[in-house]
Amino acid sequence: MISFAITPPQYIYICTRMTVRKKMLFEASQYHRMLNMDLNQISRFIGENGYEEIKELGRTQSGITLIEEALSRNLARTYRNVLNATPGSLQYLMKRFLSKGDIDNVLAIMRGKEFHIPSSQIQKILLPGGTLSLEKLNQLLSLHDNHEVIQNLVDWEYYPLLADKILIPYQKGSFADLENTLYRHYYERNYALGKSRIRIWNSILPYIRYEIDIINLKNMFRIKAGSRVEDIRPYIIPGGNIQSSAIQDVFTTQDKEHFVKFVKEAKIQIIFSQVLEDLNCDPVSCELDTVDQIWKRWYERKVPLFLVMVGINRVRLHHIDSLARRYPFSVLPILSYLENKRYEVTNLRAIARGRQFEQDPEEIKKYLVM
Amino acid sequence: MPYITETRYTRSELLAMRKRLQIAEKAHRLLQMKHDGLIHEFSSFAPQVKKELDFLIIRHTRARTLMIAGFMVEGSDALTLSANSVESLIHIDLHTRKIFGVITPVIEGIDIKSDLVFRGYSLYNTSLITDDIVDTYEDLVEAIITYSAHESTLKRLLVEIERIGRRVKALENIVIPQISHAITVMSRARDELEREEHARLSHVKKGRQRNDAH
Repeated sequence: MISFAITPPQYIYICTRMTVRKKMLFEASQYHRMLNMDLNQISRFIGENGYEEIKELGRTQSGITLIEEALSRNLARTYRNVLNATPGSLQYLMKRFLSKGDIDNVLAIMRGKEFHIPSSQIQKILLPGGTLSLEKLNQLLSLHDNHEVIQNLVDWEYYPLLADKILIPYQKGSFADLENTLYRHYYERNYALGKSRIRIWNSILPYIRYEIDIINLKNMFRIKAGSRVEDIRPYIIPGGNIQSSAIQDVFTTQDKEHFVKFVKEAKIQIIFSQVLEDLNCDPVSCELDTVDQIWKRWYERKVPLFLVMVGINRVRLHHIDSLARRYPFSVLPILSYLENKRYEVTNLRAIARGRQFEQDPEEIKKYLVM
Repeated sequence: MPYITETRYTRSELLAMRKRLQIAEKAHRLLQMKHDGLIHEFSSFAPQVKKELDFLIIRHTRARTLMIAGFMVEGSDALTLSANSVESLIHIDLHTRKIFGVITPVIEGIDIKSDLVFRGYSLYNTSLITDDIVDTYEDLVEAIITYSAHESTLKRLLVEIERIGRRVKALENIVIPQISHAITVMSRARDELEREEHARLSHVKKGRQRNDAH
């Protein structure tokens, strides 16, 4: 499985390199400056601050298209650079983490083939930041149908699931099923890596568990609000700190006390309190009102406001940063850098789109994860 | 252009004209009732459609706001990907119903609201904003369908009100007055004829009496 182990100096080197890169990401003051710029100024500003793609694409594109395309390409380039920079088993681990992008890309191509979406449109949304290169993705895109696409993915780690799940001729809902299966598999394998006996990988376990918890809770709220299914277990990823059975129990409950107990035990209250504090809620009343607010939206089958979810992303980012500080020479500083980079791209896009739609700077600020 | 062009001052013509007047008055009464009924229907329906239009504008504004938020949070690529993934289709049932004889469309959307887990996109690589956008657009489609059916009904009622109104006015101001006038003229003419006949007969009678006396 692993070609060679890596030495401590290599670890120190790569982790230090990532920490330095993380320091070079945009700071809050720079975001605040950009909030008052127009699109041309933003593209020039980010072009002068590490986003070389602006210069490359500037001849053919302009405005928001230029910025979005440049941001996507830059993110993909960053992922591939990190993948190439990491040695040995770390590279294996990074491949495992970045294979999430491959799932998105492959399914976008397959959906395009199935629903006859023009290849040019699909090509625009591909983000070659995973293990499948841009050349490979273009080759898949040029194929005739999904049967050929699957046949050309024999070497891909998810090939058995792909071949097993997808039905030809296509049946409605197959892609969603397949996508759910692939993502579940992705998280389960990452969890298994964290649980493995290899010491250097153990450090990622708290991060994976936290990530799984957030996904499960998010999906629990989403399904409660948007679906009539009674059994949530097929949508729960095992391995989190919160047990699947506990989530299923609370999913069907109509009892406030049961729900409040779950919220307190699952430590959701802390996350939500932090989020509400971020949204300028008075800390004292926040603490008192959090459970009531969550219960109210839960009982009315409403999802939490999406701004709360932006807040949860903020809390999640801080959590991974704190884990990276706790384990400075592990895979976590690399993951922390990648997550921060991803949110930098998200923030820049939010600013650019916000300015495009002439949103108020204070309004745009609510969408920034920093 | 006069409604009645040629008249013969015969008794049968007069009776026929009186019959026409009766029919015209009856038609006027019925059309007037239909006109009033349509106006009543229109005036009770219009505020509802206005509310639906306001509701539609609100939903459209909300959808646009959420779409902006979606572009800001997810980006156009992720939104395109999610949009391409949606497999649930909306079916539209179209049939008609009659209001005072006016054929109006009834448009009903079937399966507008989709269940989250059957929409076609994965729960793991989409966010809550995607759900919010889909929900809002489903609400918007629902509002568009309801409004379009009712707006179309309102337009057809309006056309019918104008049409019936024209007829009522034509009966009221042209047809009935002209027939009444024609009847009056005929009656007078017939009276005149009767008087002439009476005078002629008197002359004949007097002539005969004179001849008999000689």
